Amino acid sequence: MSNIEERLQRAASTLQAHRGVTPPPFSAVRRRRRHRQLFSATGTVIALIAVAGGLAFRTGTHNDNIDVSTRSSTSQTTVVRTAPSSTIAPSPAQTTPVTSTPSVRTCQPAMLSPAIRYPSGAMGHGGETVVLTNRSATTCSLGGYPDLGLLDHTRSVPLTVQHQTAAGFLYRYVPPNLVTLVPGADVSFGIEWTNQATVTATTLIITPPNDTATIQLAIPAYAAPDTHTVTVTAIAPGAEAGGYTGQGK
Amino acid sequence: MFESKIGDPRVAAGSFESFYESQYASVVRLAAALVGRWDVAEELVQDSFLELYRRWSRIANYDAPEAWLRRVVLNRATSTLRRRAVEVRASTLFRARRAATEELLVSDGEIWRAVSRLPARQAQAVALTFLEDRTVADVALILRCAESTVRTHLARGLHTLSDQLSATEGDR
Repeated sequence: MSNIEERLQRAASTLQAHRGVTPPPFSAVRRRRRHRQLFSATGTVIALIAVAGGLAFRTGTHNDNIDVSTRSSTSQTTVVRTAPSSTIAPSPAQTTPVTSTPSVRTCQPAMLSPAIRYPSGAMGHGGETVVLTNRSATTCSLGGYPDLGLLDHTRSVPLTVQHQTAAGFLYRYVPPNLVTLVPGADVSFGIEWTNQATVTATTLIITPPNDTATIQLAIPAYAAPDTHTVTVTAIAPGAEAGGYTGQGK
Repeated sequence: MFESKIGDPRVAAGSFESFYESQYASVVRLAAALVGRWDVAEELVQDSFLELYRRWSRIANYDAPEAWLRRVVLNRATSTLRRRAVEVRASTLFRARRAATEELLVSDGEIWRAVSRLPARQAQAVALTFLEDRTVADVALILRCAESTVRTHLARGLHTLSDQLSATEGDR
């Protein structure tokens, strides 16, 4: 037997000894396929609408290009006066209500650095805080509820994102206000879910409010939502997502 | 060592679920050896089983449904490799290549990468022979070609692998 054949047989033995190749229930495989088809069809519809919207905009029939500051003129606005800092350590958010709408631009995903804090769980509930730090040199604003997605290795996981409208199991209710971030300041939001062990997500996709670009964040297994439905709080100043309710802490 | 495993009545006679349970791990390993990643291998194997499920009433009556399954998995693995080659070229262009995490990569990656770089039929013949301990006759049945063709694919594949791997060792 030649050297290469011996190497191939050794490599084959190693591969055969690999543990963890267990077939998932076939019903789960079929369900995932249906979800993926649904997701793909939804994506196609959204893409078509986006193309149609783009064409309408180009021809001058689309006039809804109002910026966030105009849209949120009726809501209370909060300014985070956190000093610019090179560390990621959460800083206590000193907030000051502002009576007039600030003329600052909306934070773009490229300006934000994401991090996961305080993964926790209790009584069948899981949750974590996602902190977004303004890494740019300009002041920007964010407000409302972010959109979320999950990736399971390389695939999109169907996910229903519910907005929190009252105190949840882990997080307090945060009203959807506009928050202004000076460079280095943090905003955060909480995600919570009921554990179901039906999803093995590896990446969280965050779409900031009023944006279409996304931020991807690798999530460790112990902090990954394991279900198809999550509840998200509105964006709050600081790194505490408005505070825990204390039940799951 | 190389015993024929094709047409095993224990494989052919059962329900789809028992066939799925019995074949899943071995075809995932076969796909992983060629595509180099466990997650990609599992995905393409699951898609292959879904394809099989839709045709099960017909394929269950075949003499060797496991040969049909392997043919589909090998074809999908080849498509994945071709698609990935295009993606790698594109991502290199945009400097956005995403690295796989360590636990998703197949161990002994060097040798399996060398196998996956072989022409598709040679790579398939090598993987089926060494990973699944298949006879030349079995490989010929799976790849739907003559046994002499399988021997040629094997000989050429092993020769290329030997050259590639000794060149790699020479570089170190």
